[in-house]
Amino acid sequence: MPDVGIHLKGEVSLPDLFQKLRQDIGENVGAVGCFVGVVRGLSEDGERVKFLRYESSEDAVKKLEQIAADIEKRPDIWRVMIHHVVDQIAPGEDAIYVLVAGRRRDDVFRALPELMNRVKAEAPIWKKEVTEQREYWVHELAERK
Amino acid sequence: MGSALGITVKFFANFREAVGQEQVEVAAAMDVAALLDELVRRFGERMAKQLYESGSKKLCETVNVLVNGRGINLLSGLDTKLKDGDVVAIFPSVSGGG
Repeated sequence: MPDVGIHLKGEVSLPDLFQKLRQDIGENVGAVGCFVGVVRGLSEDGERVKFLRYESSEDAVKKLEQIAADIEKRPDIWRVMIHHVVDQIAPGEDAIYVLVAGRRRDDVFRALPELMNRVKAEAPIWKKEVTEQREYWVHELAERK
Repeated sequence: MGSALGITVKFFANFREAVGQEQVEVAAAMDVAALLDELVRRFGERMAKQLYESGSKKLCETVNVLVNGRGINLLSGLDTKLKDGDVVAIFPSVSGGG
């Protein structure tokens, strides 16, 4: 079963997720990979970032479950965890944790970018970046480019 | 039509900002196009600019409209029929992750 969630800041941490993953790890698991998305201190335009404010719809958990389940179906993937923080997050703080346990490193290394690319394209989560100069929705900035 | 239920419209991200509310109720709308007309009537030019490509009634490619959780691109687009009790969600391209 995939393990996913949407959390406020402080409700989830990488050590806790890692410990949970290790508790009942499958005997066929030979690799664990993880991705942590961290809020950058400088924007794309080089402005100093004060914080990012995330927002999600109530369907976000369902979508994360679907994405995780699709990858977890693979015979050489044992467990996928996706946990997103939806809150006001400062530079240096974590926004998302993705953990994958699988048979070999290649299985895990392949799954991580696929999972993140799908989260970024499909999960109903948005972020507003607030810099020292201005604030804007990140999707609007991407659409203008 | 005629039920007190009406249609619930939920907004996210910049649409929520434009409207200043998380959701509104619309008494009746025959289809998605009529619903969007009603939203523009209520919320003005800012809503129109966020929904439509400049100077047209063509929905911006980056705007997602869901009826009861299904994208209108998988239904009948702006002609998708609406009925009392439907829930419509309007939101922009997603941008989650790190």
